[in-house]
This record gives sequence, C-alpha cells and structure tokens, in this order.
Amino acid sequence: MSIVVKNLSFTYGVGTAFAKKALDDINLTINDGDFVGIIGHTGSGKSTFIQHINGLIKPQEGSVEVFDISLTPAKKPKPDLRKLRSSVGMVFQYPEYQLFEETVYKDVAFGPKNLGLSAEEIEERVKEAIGLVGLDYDAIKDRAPFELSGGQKRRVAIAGIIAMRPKVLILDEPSAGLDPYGKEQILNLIVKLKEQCSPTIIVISHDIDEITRFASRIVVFNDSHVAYDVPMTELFEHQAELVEMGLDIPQAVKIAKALEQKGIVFDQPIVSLSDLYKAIVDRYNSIHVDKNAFDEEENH
Amino acid sequence: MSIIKLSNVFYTYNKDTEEQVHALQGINLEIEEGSFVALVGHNGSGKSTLAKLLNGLLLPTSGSVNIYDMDTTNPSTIYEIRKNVGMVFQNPDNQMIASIVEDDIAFGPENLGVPREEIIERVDWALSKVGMLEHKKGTPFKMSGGQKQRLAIAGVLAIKPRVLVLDESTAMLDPQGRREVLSVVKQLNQDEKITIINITHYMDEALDADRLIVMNEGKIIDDDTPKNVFSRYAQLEAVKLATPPVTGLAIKLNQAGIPIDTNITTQSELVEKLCQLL
Amino acid sequence: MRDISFGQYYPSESVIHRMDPRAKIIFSLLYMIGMFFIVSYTMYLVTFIFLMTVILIAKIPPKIVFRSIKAIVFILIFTAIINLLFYNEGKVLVEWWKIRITDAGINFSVKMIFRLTMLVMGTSLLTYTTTPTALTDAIESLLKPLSYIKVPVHDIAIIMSIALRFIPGLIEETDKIMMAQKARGASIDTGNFIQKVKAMLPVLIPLFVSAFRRADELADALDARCYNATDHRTKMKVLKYSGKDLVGAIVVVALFVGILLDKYLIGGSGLWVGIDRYIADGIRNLVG
Repeated sequence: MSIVVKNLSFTYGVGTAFAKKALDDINLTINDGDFVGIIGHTGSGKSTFIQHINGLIKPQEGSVEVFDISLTPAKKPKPDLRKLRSSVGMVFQYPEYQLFEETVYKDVAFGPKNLGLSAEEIEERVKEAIGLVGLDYDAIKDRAPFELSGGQKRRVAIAGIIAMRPKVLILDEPSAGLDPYGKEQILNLIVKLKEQCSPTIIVISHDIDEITRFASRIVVFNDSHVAYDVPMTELFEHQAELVEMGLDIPQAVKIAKALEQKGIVFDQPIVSLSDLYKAIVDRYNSIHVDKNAFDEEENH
Repeated sequence: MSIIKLSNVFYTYNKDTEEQVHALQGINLEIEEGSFVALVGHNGSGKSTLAKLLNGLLLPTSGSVNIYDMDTTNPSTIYEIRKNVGMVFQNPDNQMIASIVEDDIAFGPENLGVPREEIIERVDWALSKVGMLEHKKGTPFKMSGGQKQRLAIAGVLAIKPRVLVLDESTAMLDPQGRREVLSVVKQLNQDEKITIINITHYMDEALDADRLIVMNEGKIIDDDTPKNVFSRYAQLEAVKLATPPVTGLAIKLNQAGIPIDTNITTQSELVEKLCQLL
Repeated sequence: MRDISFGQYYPSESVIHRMDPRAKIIFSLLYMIGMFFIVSYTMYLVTFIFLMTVILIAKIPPKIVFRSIKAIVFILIFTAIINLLFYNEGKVLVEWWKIRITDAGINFSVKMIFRLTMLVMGTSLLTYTTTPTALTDAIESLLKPLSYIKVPVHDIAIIMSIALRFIPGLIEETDKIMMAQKARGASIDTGNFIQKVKAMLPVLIPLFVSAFRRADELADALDARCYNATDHRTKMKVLKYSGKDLVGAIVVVALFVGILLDKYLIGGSGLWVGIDRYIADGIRNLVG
C-alpha cells in the first residue's frame, strides 16, 4: 500500500474569525498501481488533501503514511521530507508558472539537483524526462522556457517533476487552460507516464469526462469529506449519488442512461465515450449479423 | 445591420524588430447587430488579437476596423467605441480593481462620469443580470471562478455596451463555471439584444451561437452555421480543433459503418437516431 | 489563510463600524497625539475605560483586541527593561555595578508600557472597525485638497485600491509557488543568508513574471472599462458625516482636552503628577 490516510482533519486560520474547516476526518488508502481520479467542487478540500501527501502541510489531526514515511501532528521524529518528495511527485495547477531557470535543461534539472544526485545521473534523468514528455531533448534543452508555447511549457514543467522519478505522481488540473489539442496531448501523456514512469497516479480534475478516459478509481471530495469512492466500472450504477452532490456525470453515462430509458440496455458498463462507442458498434453489428443470418436462413 | 466591419486587417507583433509575428493576415469580417458569434481557433491562431482590435486595445498594422462607423484609429471616438464594445478577459482574478463587489461594478460608469443616482441603478441592474445581486456588498476573494467571471461581465455591463466580446472568458473555469457564464451570456443576447462575440476553444460553446467563425494562422478559414462547420470536421481536425463530443461520437460511429449523420450536435438527436438503429 | 483585503477588519454591526471612516481616521490621530501628553495614572485609567467602552460598543471580543498587543510584547518588554535599567533620576532602590533601579525609573517604565499598549489597542480599533476599502476612500477624500496643487489624488486612490485588491492574490500565489518548489525538493528556509537569498530565486522569478502578466491583463481591463475617459469622473459612494460622528467628536475632544488639562493645569512634578497628586494627597489625609 502506497498511501494510508487515517482520521485526517485540517482547519485553515485556526482561532481567527475566518477559520475554515478544509478536511474532516478523512480516511483513504491508495494502493500501488492505482490510477485515481479525484473530483470535487472548488473548496471541497481536495487540494488541501493532496498537499498533505507531499508533506507540504503538516497534519493537525490524524496521520498520513506514505510508503514508510509517517506524517503526524507530533513534532518528533521529523519525517524525511526529501525522501518523501522524491517518492511523491506533485504537478501543481498551471505548473508552467513555476519555471524560473534560463534554460529548459536547468529547469528540469532543478529537482534532481535538490536530491543531491551526481552530474551524470542528473543529465541522464533530464534527458529521459524530456523524452518522456514528448519533447526533442537536443532541440529544446538550451532554449529559454519563457519562449515556448503554452503546451510545451507545461510539458517541460511536468518533466521537471518526473525527473525526480517519483513512485506516485499527483497532478492537479493537468489540462486546465489548454486548447483542445494541448489538452489531448497532456491526457495522452498522463496515460504514458502511468505505463513508463510512475506506477501510481492521482489526478485532480473538474472535468469528469476527462477522468473517465484513464482513471480506474474515482474519489469525490464534498464539503471536506470523502463522499464517494468507487472503481470506475461501478460509476454507471452509482451515478445518482454524483447528481445528488451537484456534480456532473460523464457524457457517455448520460447518453447510455437516456438509451436505457428507451429500452436499449448494454451488457458492459459504460463510463467513457470509447466504452459507449464500442458498445454501440458491437450491438449494431450483432443485430445486423443476426439479421443477415436470419435473412440467409429465410432464403434457404 | 453590420455594426462591426473589418476590412483587410493585418496585425503584426514586434513590427520593427526581427522577431515579427504576423498574428492577423488579411481579415475581412462583418458582424450583424444582435447576433451571437462564436470564434474558434487553437492557441496562436490570432483570435485574441482579433478581439483586442475590436475595442481599440490594439490598432491594425494595416486595414481598418470600424465599429458603428467609427474607426478605431481615431482617438476622439475611442471611448465612444469602448462604451459600445465591452470586453471580458480570460483570467477572472485580473479584472477586478476593487475589493468590494459594488465598488468594482461602479468603476466603469464612474469613469464615464455617469450621475451618482444612475450609477447605483446600473450597479443593481448589472448585478441582477448576472445573478449576483445578493453579493453586492461581498468580496470576490473566496468566490468561485464562475462567480468572479460573472462579476467581470457585470462590470462591463454597467457601461451599457451594445456588443460583448468574451476573450476566452471560460478557459480557466470549471464546467460548472462555464455553464454559469454561458447561460448569462445567452440571456443577455436574448433579453437585451446585446451582440455577443464569444472567442473560445471549447467547441461545445459554439453550439449556442448562430454563427461560427474558424481561425487558423491569422486567417478566417470557415464561417457558417455551427452545424455546417462541424459537418466539415476533417478541416477542423487539420487545424488542431475538434468537434463537440457528441458530434465526435457520431462521426466515429459513421466511420465504423453505422449509417448515422455526422452533423448531430445534441444528445437528444443522437439518442433518437440510435434508437432507430439499435 | 486570511483575506488581507479585509486587513484586521472584524465584521460586526455597530455604531462604531458605521461611523464615517474619515471621522475615525481623524479621531485616531487625535487619540494618538493625546497619548503622548498623558502624565497621570488616573488619565491612563480614564483612557483605558474609554477604550474598553469603545470596544464594547463596537461589539468586538476584547480578547481579539488584546491579541494585537501580542505582536509587540517583545518591544514592550525590551523598552521597559532598558528604561528600568538606565533611568538614573529619582530615589535609588537597587544598585548593582553600573545598573541602578530607581522609583522614577519604575514609574517611567510602567507608564511606557501603558502608553504603547493603549496606542496599539486604540489604532487597531480603527482597522478592526473599518475595511481597508473604506480607509482608502477616506484617505482619498481627506487628501482631496491636495488635488488643487496638482497631486493626482484619484490615481493614488486607484493604486491603493488595486494594491488592496491584488495583495491577497499575490500572497496566495507566493504560497503556491513556494509549495511547488518545495515539492521539487527546494529548501527555502534553511542555510545561511546568501543560501537563503539564492533559494528564494525559484520563488521570486516566477512571482515577478506572474505579477507582470497580471499587470498587463489588468491594464487592458482598465482600458476596456473606459479608465480616463473623462475628467469629470463621478463617484458612487459619497462619504457623509452624521450625528454619530459629531457625538464621537465630542467624546474624543473631551478626552483630549482632559489629558491636556491634567498635564498643564493640574500637572506637577515628581512621581505623582496631575490628578494623581490630589488623589494621593487625599488618601494620605484619610490615612493620616
């Protein structure tokens, strides 16, 4: 088990007139190899939650265990934050806003350097990371990050995180603000990273359609609580709960539900548009193959 | 009646340096009063440059931009143009100047020297038009992106513009916020007959428009009803754009040999067609 | 995280909150000046009662006001000790090496603590009961006469207003960038001074880039909303003095005059001054 969160609570501005509870008794386990999609309204606590996983916020109550590092409200023993941050990579919203070095190479090397690696190892990792995010290492390494396009900048920023070779990768709204093409590329990149870089991935997104494209498990934060935690394949049966929380259900689920009302029920669970596409094609073909067979029989 | 006329407009960034960027290359465009126009294109297609030309934030390198028969290069009518063409930008956080909602909405009319009583009326009117009247005395700090962007619209409405240009105003919003903003904009178009120019890269937003303009590399490459533009989906894909998800599904099904129209745009259309086929 | 565009503002419904911000600024100034003329313990007590009454009327929990003193506790203790140790006049009570503690020294230190504490409490009352926006409006209005000598008062007001509006956002952004760089293993709060400055670059550079981008977008937004369209700018909110401001003025001026009377008319010298002396004499007579 990669991450075990127990009874985690957190309040901003404790003791002021503006105190606000962000997390209330969160219990959640994330297993090795999980591909988790987290959704929730703005202010539901999801960002506060992931900041705990990376040791960016110290727990006020409860505990977070990431691999063998334990984070608790206690002052001692001090957790090994460097080790934690090398195993949990965190890509914040609009990560291109963190770029600061004069060349792409230096920026991607910032993380590995902080880990205290040797120059050769750093170079190897930077090369690998830039390649993984789909950029041409030799063409881009000496360019200034600020002169790249929006989508490229974001990929450079992501390369800076995966160059630390995290075992868990957390991405907060990875496709926000990109145009459809840039979005498509980032979403494909995430799937690729799951296969080739980081075995466990957590993605926060507002857009449930986006999450249905890759996640195998969906967690919903609502009002500082974990309100919903189901495998993606069960989302179709549990869609009513999402509607109750005022959240969107995936477009494919909406269409499949509408078809169900007209008497067209699919055998397989429908979550993403590609599920729906396959189901429709299968059904169409089976009807028409059967019909063709029937026609042939009649001819005999 | 055409209220916006662009003839042979070129715009070049860094004109006098070696790093010239030709953002617009020969744009000819007329927009009718009261219409709802969507303008799409990928990042760098020139659509935001076009937006900034419409109220004289940028002036054409060559060609002319006329708004209600006023040329944007004429300094004596520039505020008259800005009064008529309101503009909402991308980042909801970078458009408000005051910390209290009503003070911010009042900023535009105050700049124009509108009498105090009328400002108060306009603030209430603009806030009620975007459904934010109860937040009049509030502060935007803890608001959602959709709420902030609706306030930005109200801030512009208080100037009483006849045209509202949304320059990627939904790009940074979550789906909920996008819906809020779009429904407000649709209402303004229907109730107040305000001309809407929605610059976006979300194709599903184009469905609300009665005219869809597609831009690529500084040129207009298509200009038709949304349904007709989507039917030319191969051309859209060629310029790194996509059809709305429902249309996309219909196209894929069609390509898989299922006899379904490729110009389907809504879910109910799709469901109806599928019922006949399955 | 708190919204600093609210400053220390404590939202509550009270007469003090509703008073004209200009009046509150003037009263605070008068109060501050008054604090430097107080000589007697009795006047400190009177002023303290005045303060507590205002806090009560303003419906602010006193513990919140007292919290504002926490920030200056160190300064308080430090000045008190320095005064105690190096004040040489008066009757010597303790003498050790070069250090001499006298009765006047104790007296001076205690009064110093009273003065600073009440100064901070009084001025923080202004910010507890007035939003920064209202303060900005008030400052603009109070500075208005300067526009006749071509001081761009309105532009200054807009700058203050925009600063108030954007500071919370920039703080939030700094926080975010800091977290992001920490997540990349940056150690921002360790090392010596030069290391720390160097370690701040990954935060400062993105912050500046972002601030400039914001400024750019904001400039477009200001232009689009017809900033500088006319010289005859109007204002939606017009500040107006009312009866409560007059009552406030009477009370504050009375306190101020009382302090001056105590110092200059009744005032004497020595440990017990002003009204204190009469009270001390009275007690002595009673006992004697």
